[in-house]
Amino acid sequence: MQLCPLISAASPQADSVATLFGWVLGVCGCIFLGIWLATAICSRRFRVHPHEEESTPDPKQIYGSRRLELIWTVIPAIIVGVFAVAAIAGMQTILPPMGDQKPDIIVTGHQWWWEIHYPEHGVVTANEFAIPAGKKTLVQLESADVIHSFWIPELAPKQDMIPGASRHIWLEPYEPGKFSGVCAEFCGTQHAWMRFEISSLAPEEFASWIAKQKAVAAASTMEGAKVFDEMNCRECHSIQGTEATANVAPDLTHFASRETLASGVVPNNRENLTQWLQDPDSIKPGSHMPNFNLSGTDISALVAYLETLR
Amino acid sequence: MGNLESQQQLPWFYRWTTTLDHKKIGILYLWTTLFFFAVGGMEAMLIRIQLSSPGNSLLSPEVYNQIFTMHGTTMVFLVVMPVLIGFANYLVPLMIGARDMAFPRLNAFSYWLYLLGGILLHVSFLAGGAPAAGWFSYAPLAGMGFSSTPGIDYWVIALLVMGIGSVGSGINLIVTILTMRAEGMTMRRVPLFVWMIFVNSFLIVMAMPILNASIIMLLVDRQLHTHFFDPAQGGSALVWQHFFWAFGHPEVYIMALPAFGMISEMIPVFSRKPIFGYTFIAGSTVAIALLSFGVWAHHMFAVGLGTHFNAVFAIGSMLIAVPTGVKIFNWIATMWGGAIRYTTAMNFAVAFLVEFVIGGLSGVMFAVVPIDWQVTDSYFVVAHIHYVLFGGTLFAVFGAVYYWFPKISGRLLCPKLGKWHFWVTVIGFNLTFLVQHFLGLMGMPRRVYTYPDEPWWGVLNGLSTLGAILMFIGAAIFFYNIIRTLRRGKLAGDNPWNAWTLEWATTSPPPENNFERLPVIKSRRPLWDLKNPDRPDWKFEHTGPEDSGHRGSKALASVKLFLLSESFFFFALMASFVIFGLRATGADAAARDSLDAVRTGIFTFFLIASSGTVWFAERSLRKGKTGVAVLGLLATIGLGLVFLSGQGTEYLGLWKEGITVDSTLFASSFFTLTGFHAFHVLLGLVALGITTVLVQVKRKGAETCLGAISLYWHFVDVVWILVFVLVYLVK
Repeated sequence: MQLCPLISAASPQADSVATLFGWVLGVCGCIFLGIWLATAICSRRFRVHPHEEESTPDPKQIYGSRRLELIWTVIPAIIVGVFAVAAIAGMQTILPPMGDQKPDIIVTGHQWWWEIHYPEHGVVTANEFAIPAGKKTLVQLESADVIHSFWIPELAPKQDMIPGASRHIWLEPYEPGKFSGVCAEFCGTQHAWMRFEISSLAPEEFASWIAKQKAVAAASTMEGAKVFDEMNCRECHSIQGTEATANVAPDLTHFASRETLASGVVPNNRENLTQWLQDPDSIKPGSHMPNFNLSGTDISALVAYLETLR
Repeated sequence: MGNLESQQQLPWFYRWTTTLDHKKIGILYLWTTLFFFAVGGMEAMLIRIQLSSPGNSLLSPEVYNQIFTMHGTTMVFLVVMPVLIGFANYLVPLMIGARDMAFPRLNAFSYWLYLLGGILLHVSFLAGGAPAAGWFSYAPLAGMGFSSTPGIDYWVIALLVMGIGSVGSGINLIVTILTMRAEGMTMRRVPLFVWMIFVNSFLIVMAMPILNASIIMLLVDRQLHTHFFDPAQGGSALVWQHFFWAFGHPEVYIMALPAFGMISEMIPVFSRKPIFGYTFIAGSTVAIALLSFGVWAHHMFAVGLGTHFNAVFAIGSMLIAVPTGVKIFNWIATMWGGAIRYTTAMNFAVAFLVEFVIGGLSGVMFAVVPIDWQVTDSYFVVAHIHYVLFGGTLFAVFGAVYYWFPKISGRLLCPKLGKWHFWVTVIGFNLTFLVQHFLGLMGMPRRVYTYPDEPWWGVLNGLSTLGAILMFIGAAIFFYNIIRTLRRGKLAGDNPWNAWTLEWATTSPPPENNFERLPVIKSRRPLWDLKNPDRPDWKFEHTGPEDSGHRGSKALASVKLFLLSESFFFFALMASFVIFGLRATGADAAARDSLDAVRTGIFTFFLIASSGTVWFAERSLRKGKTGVAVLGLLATIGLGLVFLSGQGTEYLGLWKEGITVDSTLFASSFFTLTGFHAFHVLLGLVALGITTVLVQVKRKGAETCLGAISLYWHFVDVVWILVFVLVYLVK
């Protein structure tokens, strides 16, 4: 991630926020400096040192001034009036209504992972996904349980995901690149590790990414596939092309191509995957993945199988 | 209070637990909040140590979530609110020249409810885990489905207990200010602290019942299996947010206005000038209070409620900045041209100005909605609220402690330790929270127990923790200063700051009955007038018409305020009926149609008739016809009982049809609304029964009592008429 999303804004939406932020910060900064300066001057010019207290007479008693007070009521009122106009204009540029346009992607928040669905392509994935660069992508946001909030700091301001209601957001990265996303609304035990990665791809790369997601492996005869069946992993997980179709937990169709495990906690490698299957709580305490007390052989078989799901 | 002599012979424990003296109760508040400040501070330290480096595993996520929830709840409900109420308790009667609060027993009761609530909240740690859904307990996370330990239930009960206590305090303070002012002390002459407490108490009286109604619905959801806030069963997650923030934003000002009052007392005294623009400061407070009820949805900009909705609340939130700004400018104008004494209290007051302005301006930035979308729920907000509540309110409170401690204890806090406390705290505070602005801008979300090792995140979090350690040291110096001063501090005398308001016109500490003799009150600064007979304020500053001497009835004022509070409670319940009950479809609509409007209409008639009989009883008593009055009261009780039995019959019929509180959303909102009304009728009947006895035995004050209860009874009837129309007639 870049150091500061507001400096390295990577989309027109983020740019609008950054510009607005810059101006408002500038005005507020001036007001603050003025007030700070006034108190600083007071403490220099009007300070009475303890040893002079007795000899200092009381200053002139001034009870107020209607004119001054009106001035410092009206000027701030004008400033916030300008802010209000800027706020309303900003809302309309950054989050125009979706109208009857169909969403390109539907993202559903779960405790504590992200379900990603491309309705047009029939592609389902989790936690890591791609969008085309230089194009406006309409994302519909849903929640399967509690309130979450979808936030990619460099691409767009955040939008809450409300159970029982749909929300939307526009993503429009200028350039290809990788961005981190995060859940911004407290959603329970593992709120901290509800992160995701989003890749902005050049249009042709995006097309081939979609094509790869559509490709589905045939049912496997590997030992691990049997363990997957026997341990009822499909009660929660799906692997397209097999009988596993649940969506309680992340889709595993292209599991091995993901960079991280458990929504961003650790890199997705053999060692971590083995540990995750041995004891999920040791990687992501409180996650809804149960500990099945699998034997060492079962785990190796599962790992070998999962690693083929590219 | 009558048995003053015997009180003093009791062991200290009994003396303090049975006291009705507003000063002792105020001191109890201050000690208790100091204790909870230490508890909440420890929780803050745990949070900061956990976050000092990325991937730290000191606290498990379950424990961390409990700790941050308890830190927020403790600081808001057990520290900031009660410390302000505690100061108000101690100071308001002194400042207006009264002997005590209007209702000393209610006052003590409020304190003990607060303590009980604080204990209940912490018992949760032993009862299966503290609440862990944040101090805001958002639905559906706080529902049984996602938080099955009893933590949230303890949270609800504790807040309910304290909420009732706070409403009691609010009513008590308003009535005290309205009816107990000394001769000459008109409402335009009360010190600004009193004025702020007056407005603040109205906020408490009106906002707390909204919280009470919503946490009751949350409790009913969790324990009686209703679905108000459960979207999976047709409820709504967002209604909770609307209700919570409809309370929550006035709450922010409940935690700020008294601090404004403290600042408005300290800055003039140490600048040796009167407050600049008393009327503007007082008036802008009323503006803030009114606006504070219309800005709640600025906590919900990222919820996605639409441009128009957001625009309305953005404008409201911007507007509230104007009267707040007025105060800042007026305080600076007060200092300007003064002869400023930089005591520790004044240091904190000036630091308050600077830090609060930072928090206020970042608040204005949030009102520019797209900026809110970017930085809300990030560490930027954490920085913002701490600049408002710590750099703002708590700095004012620290100042107030240094300012009024000599009055309360008779001893001056050590200024040298005070300077240490001040500078260590100011540096620590800014180090802790200034960097959090940057963390938020860099994309760090709040309420996370750990975070990935992004560039600079670890460093900035480490700095923030370092700042927190400084603040901890600062607090330790403060505690040490208090304890040392109580043992062997310099004696203060009556008026160490040469201040001008009435609390300085008595001994330090003041005697049990507060004043031996009051000075003449002809202006806002009676002690200035006393010392400067050549240039008294009243010659230069017009403060309205002379005191008419009229103060009004305590009983009637308190009942009216109680009913004001109750109407907000019922308003929230009716709103929930409109949201959940009126939109009923399918099975719900069938349940609604099975209600018998005609039968209930007849019982409604009985209830309305009882308003007539109680009015008749009141009139008879005023004419001295005790017997007739008792008959009228008995008739009222009879009619009330008929109404209740009618409602009982209806409930029984519904129950036989299988319609209970948990069956549908309509039933949930129907039973909650009518049930709470019935509960109020029942309470009214008990009160009417007691009143009947009082009238019968011709007890002194029975007439006032009857006046108050009949007002309550009319209110209950009016509420029922609204409920009847809403539930039975609107289709």
